[in-house]
Amino acid sequence: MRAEIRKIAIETAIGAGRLLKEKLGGVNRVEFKGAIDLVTEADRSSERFIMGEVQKAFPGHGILSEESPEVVSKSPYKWIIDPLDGTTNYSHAFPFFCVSIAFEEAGEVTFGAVYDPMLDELFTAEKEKGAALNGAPIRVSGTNTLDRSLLATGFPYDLRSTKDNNLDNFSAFSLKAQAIRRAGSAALDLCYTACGRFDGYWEMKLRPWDVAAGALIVAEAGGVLTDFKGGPFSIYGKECLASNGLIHESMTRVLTGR
Amino acid sequence: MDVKECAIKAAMKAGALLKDRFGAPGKVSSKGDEGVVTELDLASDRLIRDEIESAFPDHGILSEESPEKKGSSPGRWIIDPLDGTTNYSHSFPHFAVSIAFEDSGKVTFGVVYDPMRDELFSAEYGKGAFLNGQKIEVSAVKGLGGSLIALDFPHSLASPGSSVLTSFASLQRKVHALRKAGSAALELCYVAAGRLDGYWSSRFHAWDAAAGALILEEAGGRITDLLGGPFTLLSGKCVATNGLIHENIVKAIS
Repeated sequence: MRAEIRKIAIETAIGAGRLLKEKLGGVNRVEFKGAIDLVTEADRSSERFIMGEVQKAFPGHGILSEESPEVVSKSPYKWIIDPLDGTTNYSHAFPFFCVSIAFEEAGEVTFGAVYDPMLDELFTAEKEKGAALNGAPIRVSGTNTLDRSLLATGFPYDLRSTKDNNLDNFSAFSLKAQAIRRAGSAALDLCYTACGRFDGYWEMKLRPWDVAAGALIVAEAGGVLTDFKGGPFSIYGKECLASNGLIHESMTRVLTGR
Repeated sequence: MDVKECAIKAAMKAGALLKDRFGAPGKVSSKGDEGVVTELDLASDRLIRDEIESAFPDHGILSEESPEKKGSSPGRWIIDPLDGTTNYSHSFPHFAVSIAFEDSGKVTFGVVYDPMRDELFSAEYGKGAFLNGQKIEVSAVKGLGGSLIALDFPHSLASPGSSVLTSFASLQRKVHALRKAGSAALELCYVAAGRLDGYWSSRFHAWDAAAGALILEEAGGRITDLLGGPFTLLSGKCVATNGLIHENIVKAIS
């Protein structure tokens, strides 16, 4: 089954990504879900395509996807899908978005694929078998101090209504890191940490589909994932701190205000 | 070869060089408290200067990476051989080559090339702006609430309670989302192409913005200083938008 899982995950990620790229020029009709959270027609088409392919190949598996009610299954197998990560970017035609597909077995993600159709970059990882970019092995960076680090972060959608909005962390890291990027796709931020483009990444209030594939890709590339305090990371938790490992403790110190 | 051909040829050749060595630039030396100069930055600079000097030996050249060359003609080139140096040094694929041509103190042609996406933004004064030969225009987003805004500021200014951070927080609550991507030239071109609705920077140099500002204006956008006053290449700070949300941004950050 593993080879088939891998094949379906990769093929659907690439197929959905190409569909998103094709539709990009025509993005203009958007509907609001909540105050700020956008969903586009392309998002829905991408999801229909991926779910259709997964259900055809594995009719008994569960599916957790951003845009639909969960398909609950009695099997230990669950697909965790973000058919368009970086929806806000996509809705503005800002070319930084991706498709994220993870496969979970008995509560543990064992395969992940993230595809960026604009740069034609496919990030993959299989549990205990390493991570790759377009088939070539990747590793986290060797940067070992914050002042030489390029960090990434994101801000929660509810930032207008809460004080727990990451601004304090952003300020603290601004004074310590070489630079911070805020590009707007959690899954790609994780993959960029995995391949050493970013040295670390933190974000709060994420959902499982944002991080399921990316977290495995970071871990398999030699990176470290925890919550903000340095405790265990879960894709079902609310905090994600990912780094090359070397600057991890420095980052938890900043995030806990120590 | 005319000015336009020379600018495009030099930008694409320099971009190809940067892309070819992407991922293995090697960190060379620090300049000031931020940014890393790589060998590639200097190689790109040399390549562009060679192109210009062989075609237009009497023109002046202002570049980020070398002392200014005074020319005997009214023509001056303003070059950033690698805009987004920090990104490049970390292999973050968002950087560009920027080349502008100034005639008697006025920028009349500008080109910005992103080799990773193979995107060439260009504009000639009075003749519109283009992306890979297709005409581009700024977005039609009218309110801040629907806008995607990029920004840049020196990190040293981001201490708690500082005016930059207060402006950042104020803007963050009013817009659809903020982006910080790290290439002034590309951010200006993205506003020109409607991918961003605005850009606010508290730190740029003439070479970062010379080509991008013309491309933005030729795409129907507006660029001013932070208070809405006239923009100059020496102002160091700017607000650049689709025009429709300009006053709103100036108000939100002041």
